[in-house]
Amino acid sequence: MLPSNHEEFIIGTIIASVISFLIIIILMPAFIKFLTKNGKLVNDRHKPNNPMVPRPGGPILLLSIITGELILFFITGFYEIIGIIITTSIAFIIGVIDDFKTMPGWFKPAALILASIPLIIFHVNENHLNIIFGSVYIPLLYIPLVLIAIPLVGNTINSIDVFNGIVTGFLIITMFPLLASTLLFGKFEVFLIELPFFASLLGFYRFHKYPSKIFPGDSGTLLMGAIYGSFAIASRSEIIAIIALLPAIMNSFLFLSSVRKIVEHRQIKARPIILKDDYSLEASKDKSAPITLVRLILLDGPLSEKQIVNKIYRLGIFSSCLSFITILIQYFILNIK
Amino acid sequence: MKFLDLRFFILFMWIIVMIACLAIIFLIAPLGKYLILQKNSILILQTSFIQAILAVMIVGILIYLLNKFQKIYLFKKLMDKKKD
Repeated sequence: MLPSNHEEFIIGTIIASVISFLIIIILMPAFIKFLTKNGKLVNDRHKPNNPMVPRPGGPILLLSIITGELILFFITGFYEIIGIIITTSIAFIIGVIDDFKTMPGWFKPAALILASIPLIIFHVNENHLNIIFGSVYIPLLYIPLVLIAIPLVGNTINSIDVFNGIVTGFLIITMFPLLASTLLFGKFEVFLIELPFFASLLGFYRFHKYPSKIFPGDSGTLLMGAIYGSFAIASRSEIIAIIALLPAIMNSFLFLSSVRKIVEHRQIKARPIILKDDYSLEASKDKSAPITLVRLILLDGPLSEKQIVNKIYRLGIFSSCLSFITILIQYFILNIK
Repeated sequence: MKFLDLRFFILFMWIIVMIACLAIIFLIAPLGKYLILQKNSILILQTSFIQAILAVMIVGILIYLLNKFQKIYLFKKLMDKKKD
């Protein structure tokens, strides 16, 4: 349902989204220079001559998202925005720690539990969980669910950040079903607050797409995952978001079921993929190497980095289509009821 | 869509997520309706605990099924690669 002053809200959202987008476009080139000058560079191993790429892009991404969301907070007075901003900021700080110091595997999931607490304090979740065929009243059970959801989404998004532009492009694709679901089943204000994040992603994709000019780092991927999870909870679209993220969830599931413990990917010696002399990639034959989505893709034969990125985007489009089918099912069931 | 296509894996995951949603509707939702009527906080706690156990069981079955499917999928995929 539209609030009475919805025109004011829509104009505010357009302004907030444009500002979020422009912050990235204007500040990112200067930030890339700053990181390069200070030697904050990492090796892009999948390209000839191993170019050095600045990392992390998370700080500008956070600045862009927070600015957009704060503008919307002052316009709408929707206090849940503050909860989402705090959650995103904590996830960003956890990512910064991991960017500059290799932490043990348990650190990110455990620390992200802390990031989910503001969502509970600001009561971003409702007492009813929307599950396509109806809703379930779980006032107490929802709290542990929120505490699990943010670490899961944060780490899932973080785990697919393996090639140039994958995480940003994948999230742009999967934002479409989330936006549609929010518009149909969530609060109108939540739909509006999702748009500055979408604009930030579009802006960041310009710099992160193949060949990347900057990497988001853990600070960028964890904040993206945390805010996506927060929006899924705030818009009562948890299942729709899970379905849209299925390729990333599949990657985490394959990894965990093959490694059988929570471990930082940098600590695993056997690599799931091998870089050939012609800079194409092939699946490792090492039995001790973890199974990942990319390794499964490469079982069909060697591919270049760009081809793998496109394959993962196509999987994201496929899962988003399944999400849209699920939205339709939910819409018809609601109408019948 | 072939069985060995990755989209088939995702489709399988979607189907089991939908089945899990149906299971939640039939098993956990009726307890939720009972919760709405309750004023006794101990009963609310007990019912929520039962809801949690049921939810963990559903997720457990979901992961078990996914694990089984993953093993079959990987086996077939590797056999297919050997044939090539």
